[in-house]
Amino acid sequence: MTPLDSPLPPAWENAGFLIGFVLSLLILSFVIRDSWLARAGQYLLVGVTLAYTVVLVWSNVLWPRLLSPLLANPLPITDNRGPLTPALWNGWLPLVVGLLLWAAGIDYLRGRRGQQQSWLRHLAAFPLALLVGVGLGAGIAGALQGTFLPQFRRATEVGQLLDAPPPLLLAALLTLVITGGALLHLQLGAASGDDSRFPAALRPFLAGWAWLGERALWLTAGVIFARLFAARSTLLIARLDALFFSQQINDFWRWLMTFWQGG
Amino acid sequence: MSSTFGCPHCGKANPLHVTFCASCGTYLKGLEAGNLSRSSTPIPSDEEDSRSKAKTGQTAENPVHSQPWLRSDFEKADPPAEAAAAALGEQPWLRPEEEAQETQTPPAQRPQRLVAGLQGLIEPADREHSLFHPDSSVEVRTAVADLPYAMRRDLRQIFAADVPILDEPTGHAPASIQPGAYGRGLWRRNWVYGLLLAGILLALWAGNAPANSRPHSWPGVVEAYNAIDTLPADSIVLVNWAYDPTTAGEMDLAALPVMQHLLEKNARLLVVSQLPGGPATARRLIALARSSASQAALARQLGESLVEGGYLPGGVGSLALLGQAPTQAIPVDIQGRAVGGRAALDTLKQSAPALLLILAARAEEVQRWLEQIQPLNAAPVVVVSSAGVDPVIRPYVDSGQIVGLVSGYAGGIAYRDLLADAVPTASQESQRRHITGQNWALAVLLLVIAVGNLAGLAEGRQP
Repeated sequence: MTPLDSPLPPAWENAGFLIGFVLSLLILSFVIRDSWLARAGQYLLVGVTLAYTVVLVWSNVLWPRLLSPLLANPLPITDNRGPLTPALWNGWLPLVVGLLLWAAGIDYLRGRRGQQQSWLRHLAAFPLALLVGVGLGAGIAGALQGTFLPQFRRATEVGQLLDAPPPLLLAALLTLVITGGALLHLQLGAASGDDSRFPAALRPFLAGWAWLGERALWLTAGVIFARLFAARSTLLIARLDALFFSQQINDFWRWLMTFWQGG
Repeated sequence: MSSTFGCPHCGKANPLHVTFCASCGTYLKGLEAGNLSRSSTPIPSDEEDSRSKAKTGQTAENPVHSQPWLRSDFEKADPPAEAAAAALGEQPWLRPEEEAQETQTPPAQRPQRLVAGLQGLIEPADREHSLFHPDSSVEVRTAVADLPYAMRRDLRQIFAADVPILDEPTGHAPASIQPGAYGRGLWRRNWVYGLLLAGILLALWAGNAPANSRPHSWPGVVEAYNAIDTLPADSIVLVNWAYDPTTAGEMDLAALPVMQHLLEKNARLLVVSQLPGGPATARRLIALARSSASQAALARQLGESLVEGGYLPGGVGSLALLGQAPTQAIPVDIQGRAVGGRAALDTLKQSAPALLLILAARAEEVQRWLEQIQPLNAAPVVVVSSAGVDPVIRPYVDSGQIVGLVSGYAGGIAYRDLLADAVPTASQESQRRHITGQNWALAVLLLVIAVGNLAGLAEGRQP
């Protein structure tokens, strides 16, 4: 017995597969026409997903990481580290702030949006601002350190590639030219035909460069579409493969035939 | 009484109280309440409508005002000169460019006409205005207006081929479409379509490969294999399980051989997910990988080599802590046991994980970890992704931030080939079906593109 072994008996797992089979057919019936069957499948999917998420958040986050430690050690002053103990920072503060946000959200959903904001929502604005601010700060800092700077450094390495093999140098130069062309097309106004801000001698050159950037953008869109098509067709094939060729469905058909023949 | 009513624009039956038509997107709010009948009640005129507004105190804009073709007296409202004009006079974008510019009238004096293709979503008057008066002082900006003039002209010609679908009693709009009045823009690009068609036919011909063929292997698979194969025994791998059952059909194909390889290398996995469905998906696939692992791998106690961190809430805000101190970010596993006290993760207190493994169906999940975690612990990153994600994260492979990339079913098959394990017969058959299905799907897509281009060519050859 390992942690990965399912506690469910095999019959239950087969039942789950059959329920999934039926729900898949319900949702796929949308291809024929929109009907209450297709709607029922979609609503069941959304509802079950939401319910599962609620259970998961309770069993994986709220209880083991918040409520259970608090119940085991509820007093903020329980150790020798002073009043700011983990019970305060990791327990009571998140609990109070969470309850505040929850209450303010319910107050908002009760439909009093047009009225003057209640004190509850004013109070909840502070932790909400903190959440948004921290998220934005982390996102911007991460984008700088994880995307912008490494990509910029990589782009500027073109000058150091002169000793590199010709294919690598060609690819790097092509990247530089296409990137410049796409930026020119998108940002500098060449795409709209308004190149009057540039010197007349430069205009044909810039127009040609922007033309190249425009074609590169279209090519990129085509590549992304092609890969996305491959991803989605794989999903469809996998679903059809599971529905019509899997061992479970074969067992089900065999059982159904046996049942039909009275055996 | 019926619980649905027909859209005045396209006729599609919509449930009561919907805001937009499910078929064409026409704004329907309020129309079902009596302004429009479910079948044939006439639409109130402007005066009636304004009177009813005055009574009820409504100030919101009625769609009938912004879409005058919905009015029953719309045809009568046309100016006489406009109604008597020839078809090309009414729709000057069907004319050669110079003529059209000469005969333009200000949009405020022209009736708003229904133009198929963008109806219900973009005001036709705005579209016409942005096409013909790009320098006007009236602030009407659309995405179309930002396109170069030549492209706008081509778009105009393409969309003009759509016959208005509103069943107008006069029928003058369909009659105004003259074959040959459009399509010259396409004709000028015949050589492009010819080349494209030749390329597609060549691909179809060359794509008729034997059944045991392999899909194209994208760069990065060998590097991913080497990164995992050179891991020392008992190395800790921090796994971000960023896909759930909705994309498992594709992702499992790529993730399964990678997980099999990790189990064979005796890696210790710390698995977390920021998707609610992620932990269950991870458990199912790791169990599947273990079921096909070798006896040596099976002999190990899985409890020591797998820590299921479960669901990690907090979005971006929680990732920085995970990068610096994983055992603090994940205090307990999904069984409720403390993660910090696990002997398997002791080395995490002194050093970073030996490898970051990201299994993601969306590019944002990969970017988050590359931006929030990898700069903090500098661990090498291997990504298993959906095929659709591949082009977006490929620059990270080129910059060295991702050491290996396995994307889509093609990447999974290539990785499995590198593993050189004995693939069970059932898996072989499934793999063959996938390759065949992908080939057919690609063939259908190419056929659609080819037919579309042929239609464009045929349209362009109209006299």
